Amino acid sequence: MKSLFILIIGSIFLTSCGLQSIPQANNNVEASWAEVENQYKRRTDLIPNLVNTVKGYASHEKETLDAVVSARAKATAVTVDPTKLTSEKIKEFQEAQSGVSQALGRLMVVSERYPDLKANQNFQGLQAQLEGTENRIAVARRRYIEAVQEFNNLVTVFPTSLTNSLIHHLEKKPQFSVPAAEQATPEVKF
Amino acid sequence: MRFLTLIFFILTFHGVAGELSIPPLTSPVMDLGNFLTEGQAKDLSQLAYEIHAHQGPQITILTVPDLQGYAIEDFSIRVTEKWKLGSKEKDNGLLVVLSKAEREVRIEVGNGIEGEITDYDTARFTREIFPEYFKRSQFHTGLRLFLEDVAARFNIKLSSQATNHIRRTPYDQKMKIFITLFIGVLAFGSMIFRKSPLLRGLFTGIGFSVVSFFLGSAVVALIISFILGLIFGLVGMGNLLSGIASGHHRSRYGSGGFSGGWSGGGGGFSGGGSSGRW
Repeated sequence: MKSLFILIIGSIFLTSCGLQSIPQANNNVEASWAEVENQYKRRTDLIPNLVNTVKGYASHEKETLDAVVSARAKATAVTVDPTKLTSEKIKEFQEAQSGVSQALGRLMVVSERYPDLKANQNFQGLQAQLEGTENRIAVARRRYIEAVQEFNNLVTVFPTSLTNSLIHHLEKKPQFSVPAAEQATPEVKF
Repeated sequence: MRFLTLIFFILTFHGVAGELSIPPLTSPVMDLGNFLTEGQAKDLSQLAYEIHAHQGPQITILTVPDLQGYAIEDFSIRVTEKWKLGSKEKDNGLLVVLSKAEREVRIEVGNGIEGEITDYDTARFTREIFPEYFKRSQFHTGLRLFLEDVAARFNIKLSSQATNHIRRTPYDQKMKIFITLFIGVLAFGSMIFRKSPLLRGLFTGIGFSVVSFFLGSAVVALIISFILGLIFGLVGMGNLLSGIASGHHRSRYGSGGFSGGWSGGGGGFSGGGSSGRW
C-alpha cells in the first residue's frame, strides 16, 4: 500500500515537474522559430519573380522596385540560429523583415495604377502567393509567440521553475515585439 | 482539504476563456450557418467521403453565422488546429469556411498538399468562382465546383451517380419512409408468427398494402405490395437479412453508403490558401 502511494506520488511528480516538459517546450520554441524564418524566406524568394513581372509593365517605377530589391538583400543577410535566440537578434531580424514588408506594400500600391499589370496572369498568381505567404508568416509568428509563452511559463512558474534551476538551467526565450515601423498599418491593397 | 482542492484548481486552470467555440468534427459538412438544404449537405458530404476514400484530401466545409470577432484567416486556422483535418503523415486536410454575417469565405490548405493546391488555385475560387455563385445564393453549386476541381487535381473520377443526387432528394425521402415502415411490418410479423410462414406472409402482405395505402399508392401498387409482403413474410426476416448482407458487399461507394465517422487525423496547416468575400 505504501509503495503504491509512493509510486503514484512519484509519477505525478515526474510528469509535472518539468523534467520532460521543459526540454520539449524548448524544442517546440526552436521548431516554431525555424518555421517563422522559413516563411519569411518564402516571401523573399517570391520577390525576384515579382520584381521582374512588375518591371515589364511599370519600368519607370524604378525607385519603388529598387527599394524592394535592397530591402530583400538586407533581409536575407539576417538569419537567427534557433538555438541561440536573443531579443537583440530577433529585433534585428524583425527590422530587416519589416523593411521588406513596407517596400512590398508600396510596390503593391504602385501596381494598382497599371491595369495591364493587374490583368497579367503571372502577376495575379504572384499576388495570391504573396498574400498567402503573408498569412503563413502571421500564423508562424503566432505559433512562435504561443510556444515561447508556454516555455517561459515552465521556466518561471513553480513547480517546474524549480526543476529548471536545478537541472536544465535554461533562460526565458525572447518574445516578438512590434517595431515602431510596423505599428502604423501599412497600406497594402490586393 | 477544501483549501487543497482550491489550490489544485488554480494550478490546473489554464486560460479557457477566449477559446473559439466550435463543435467537434462529426461530418464533412458542418453547416452551422444554415447555408445548405439537407439534400445539398448530403450531396457534398458524399462527395467529400468519396474523395477521401480515393486517397484524396480530407475536405471539410464549415459554415458559421459569424466569425466571433476573429478575422477569417485567424478563425479558420484555429479551426484547423482544433479539428486537425487530414492525416498526420500526409497533412492533407482541406477546410472551406463560409461566414454569413461577414459574407466571407476562406479555403485553408493542409501543409502536405500546398503543391497540388496552390494559393493561386484557391484564390481563383475565393475571389472569382465563389463570389459569382454565392451572390446568387448558389452555395451548393459553388462548393460542388470546388470539390470537383480538387477531385480532378488528384485524378479522382467521381461516380456519375452523385451528379443528379439533389434532384432525387424528395423521392428519396419518401422511399425512406416506405422502407422503414415495410421493415417495421416485416419485423413485427416475423416476431409474432415466428413458427408459421403462411400466417407471417399473409400478415406482412396485408401490412405492406396498408402502408402503401396510407402513403397514397395506386391500386396496382397495393396489389404489388401485398404480393411482395407475402413473399417477404414467407421467406422471413432472418433469412432476408442474411441475403441482403451477402449482396451488400459488392457496392462500396453506393449512394448514401457513408462509411465510418469523420474525424481529423492529426494533419497540420500552416496558413496556406486564400480568402474572399461575396
